[in-house]
Amino acid sequence: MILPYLAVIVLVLATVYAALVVFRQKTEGEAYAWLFPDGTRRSGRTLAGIATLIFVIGCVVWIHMSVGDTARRSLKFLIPEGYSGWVRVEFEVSGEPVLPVVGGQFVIKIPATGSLKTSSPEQFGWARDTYAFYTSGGLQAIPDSGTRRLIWGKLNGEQSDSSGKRQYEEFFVGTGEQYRDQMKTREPRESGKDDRKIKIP
Amino acid sequence: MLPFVLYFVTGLVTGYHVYTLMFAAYGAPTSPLELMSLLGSFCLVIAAYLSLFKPYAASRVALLAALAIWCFYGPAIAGRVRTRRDKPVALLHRTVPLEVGRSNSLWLPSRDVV
Repeated sequence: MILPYLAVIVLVLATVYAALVVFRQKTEGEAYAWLFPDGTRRSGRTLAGIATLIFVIGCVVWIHMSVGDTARRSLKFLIPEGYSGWVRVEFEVSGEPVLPVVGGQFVIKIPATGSLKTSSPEQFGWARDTYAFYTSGGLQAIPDSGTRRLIWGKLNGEQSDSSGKRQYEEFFVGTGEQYRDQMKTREPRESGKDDRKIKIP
Repeated sequence: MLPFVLYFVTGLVTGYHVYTLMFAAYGAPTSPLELMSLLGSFCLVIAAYLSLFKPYAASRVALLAALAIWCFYGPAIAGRVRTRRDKPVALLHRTVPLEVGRSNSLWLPSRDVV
């Protein structure tokens, strides 16, 4: 909260100082040499170099820590083969099973209904989620980008109703044509009943 | 050292502030004034290093950079004053056009900059 005020104060100071230096009349042996120096001594330049080095190192450490904070465990969605339509996962639903972790990924096995509830919390941050159709013979990867893409309209949200707040994730499985067709005909889900909010990742 | 410290700190503080504001509202487009202000902050940091060798030239660069930063802060302060004088807005309702036919809405604090 203090940052905006600090920014304005230092900006005013810098503007006034720069204007004074540009527009002032130079006089010989002036009394304010410390305020308007003609140059910086070698020791001053060394100090500036050290300050810069410390600043750069600080930035690198901060960025490194920020990236660590925003990373999350990725999700692996397993979808029934041939399924087409909306998939919805609701998080933090009490009494439901937690999501298993396999190979460092949360595995979300979607049933034939396309809807799954779990007691695990939703995670936010940067990660690459993967999708696959599951069959009796194994898994078949689903492309989520490119011309053969089958994953559309992914979103995170929060829904409030009489039973409380629920966090959910939704996306559509199908071709681009199917996605556009169903979006034309689809009614807004439960609109008017719920207070829906999109969570900032 | 005084001009170096002053320009350097100002460049960093204003640059960081404007940078955070650019991502304060999810989905909001970036204003050209914000970009101009960021460029000004960058030039101010350059002026800080230039002041170690050529103080007069650095002050001219710093003055131009500061004016570029004021392009953003000036209207922002004016808007803030106007808002306070009229009716304060506690919340700003934004509709996020993620999906056609869905009623997704995002509630964010009003985008006050100062």
